Amino acid sequence: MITSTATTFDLAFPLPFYRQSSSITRLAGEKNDPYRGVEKTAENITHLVLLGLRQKLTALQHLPEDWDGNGSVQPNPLAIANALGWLEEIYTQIFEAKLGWLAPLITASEDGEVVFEWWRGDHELTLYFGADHQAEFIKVWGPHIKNEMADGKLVDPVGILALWKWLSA
Amino acid sequence: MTIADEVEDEETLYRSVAKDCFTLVDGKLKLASTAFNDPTQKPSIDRANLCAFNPAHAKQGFAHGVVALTALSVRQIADVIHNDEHGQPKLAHQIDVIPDPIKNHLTLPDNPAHALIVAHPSFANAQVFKKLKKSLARIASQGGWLIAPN
Repeated sequence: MITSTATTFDLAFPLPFYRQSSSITRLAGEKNDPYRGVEKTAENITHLVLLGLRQKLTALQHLPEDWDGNGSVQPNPLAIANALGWLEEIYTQIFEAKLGWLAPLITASEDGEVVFEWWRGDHELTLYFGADHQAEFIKVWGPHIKNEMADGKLVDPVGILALWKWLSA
Repeated sequence: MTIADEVEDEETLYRSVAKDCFTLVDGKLKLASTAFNDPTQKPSIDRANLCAFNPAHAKQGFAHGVVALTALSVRQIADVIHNDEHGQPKLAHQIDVIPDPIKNHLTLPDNPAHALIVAHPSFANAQVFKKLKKSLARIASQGGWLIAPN
């Protein structure tokens, strides 16, 4: 038996007509399964949320050599493809865990890696995506490299959620 | 080396920042670590006192912005430790700012104000340099834009 302590509202109370109504629910089939509609809505939301970020990632491939005036190489197309895949995975993990999403700043390193960066209070999270399907992270919570920074390989899915919860703490 | 060839702690240093390498969080400037990209792991800066305290001198591109940091703040980046494969501290680096005036370069215009942020000893891999870039970005973000990007 499922019980709920949540506050309930009897919206039908001032409407006696509805209190006495009955309903007929047809068995859900392939064409009228309400949960398929929910899944489709979630897919649409994901698509809209990530559309702009995917475009920014795709646009990186048009950056020229020395795009920043500091001698950085052109972003590696394989790194861009890697980052696109990870973006989808990161967002999905955060969405399914019902954690708040924050869009990253997307840039590139001098070596052609794709870089995602987030800031929240004193916490900073940076992800690097290379051409080899790997991803690395650097966590920063202060200016001191030894005591206030940590780095490692991004391990999906546990790693993503742990880092996100830390960022949001 | 004469005293004039050394970068004093109190000197202001200008850094040119590409227009996509920053964001605003709660109204505050946050530079991406990629604002300090450098393939040689020696980010370039211009010494303010050698370019008439004109930040525009440091702009690398029309759309770039310019930020500032002091030589002291760079040198105070301590504990740049390179760990071995077991995560044990292996090598400590000292961060410094050294003059690197450009003159009669094949492709670059003369720039007597040019200087470099360097590590002693040099970084063996990119991971430690990435952390240095994060630290430099945090320091430079604090002062906001001297010249905002176009």
